[in-house]
Amino acid sequence: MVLNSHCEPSEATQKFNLKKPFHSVQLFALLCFSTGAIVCAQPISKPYEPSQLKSGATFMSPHLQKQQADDDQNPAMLWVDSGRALFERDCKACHSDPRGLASKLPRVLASTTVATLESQINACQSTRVKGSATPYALESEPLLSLTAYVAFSSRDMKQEIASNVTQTAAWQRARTMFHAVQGKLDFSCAACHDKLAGKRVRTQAISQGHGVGFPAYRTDWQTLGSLNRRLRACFFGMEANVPAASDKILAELELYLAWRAEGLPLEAPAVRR
Amino acid sequence: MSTPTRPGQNARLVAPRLVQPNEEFAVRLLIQHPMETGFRRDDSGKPVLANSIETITIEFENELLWRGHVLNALAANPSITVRTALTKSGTFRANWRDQEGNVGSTSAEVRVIGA
Repeated sequence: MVLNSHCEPSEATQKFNLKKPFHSVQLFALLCFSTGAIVCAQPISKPYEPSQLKSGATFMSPHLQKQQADDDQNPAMLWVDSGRALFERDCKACHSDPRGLASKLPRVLASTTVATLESQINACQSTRVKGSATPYALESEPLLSLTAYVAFSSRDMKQEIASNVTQTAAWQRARTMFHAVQGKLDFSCAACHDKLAGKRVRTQAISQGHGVGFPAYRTDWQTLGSLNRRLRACFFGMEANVPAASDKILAELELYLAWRAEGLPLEAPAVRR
Repeated sequence: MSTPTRPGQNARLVAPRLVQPNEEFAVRLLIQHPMETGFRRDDSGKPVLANSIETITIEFENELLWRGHVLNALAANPSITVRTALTKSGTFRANWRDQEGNVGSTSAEVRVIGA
């Protein structure tokens, strides 16, 4: 009996060992110490090589893929139409060509906050657009229309991201969130979208989790919606705490997704289920 | 300075620009409309009033081609495809009206080769 109590780890130690994040941090620190600066200076590897990247449309049913490919059947193009009119009225004076505006977003600003397509349009709307001082509400029709048109104008352009983004606090917070096990189902974003893409959860194919199709028309919503709204739906699906739409972690997650999807062509406005 | 878009304001009516006489082709109509059922509530908990498109008509040169009394038979942002054939060139026009009285219309021109 005495021997047994010595050999078996106590309950407290067992619990301690189960905390994998801490364990891997220890391991990482050990690696850094043992091999010196060479390991630390390596760029952080991405879950998918550029040749392996597949957008969300790849994992949709053929019916939805067809609907997305045909602009006359894609309902999101109706928002693009009204967005074009708004852009020509309010934005054209400064931005003569909307092409390429969306593919460089999201990005980290000097103030260390993350600028997304929505926040960037609202920043213009509240400071520069003549006769307007109030930003658009998230998921409001004019903001959806403008984001749809600006994202549509960058269609087929590759997602760009600053090379030093991994050193920003915003990216690091988002990476921690992406890998954190949370919710009643013990899921993490990474567990499915980094490792199980192409497999199924219940009847649905798991995508690689890229945001290049957004704002997208979701048949679930029966309307166009932003990536912000989609991410909140992810948290809801994981049965985890759903952040408020204004929570900065959502913008930071958009940044992290863009880093994962770097080089993937934008396909907004996409059709998703 | 926002411009609230009226339900049913935006639409696309798509038909081929050039067709052969008596060649069958598709006329496709896509309307931006929420088709509210009246069963939903908004973020503040207030019921959203029912508002669906009541009638849709597609005409060719003022001649009725297709008419539907659709109401809740269609999902949001309805898409309708009508197949037809022509012997003379002309313009298709689609009209619709919803329960709140918002009306919309759009048109598409088709030219028949040699007619």
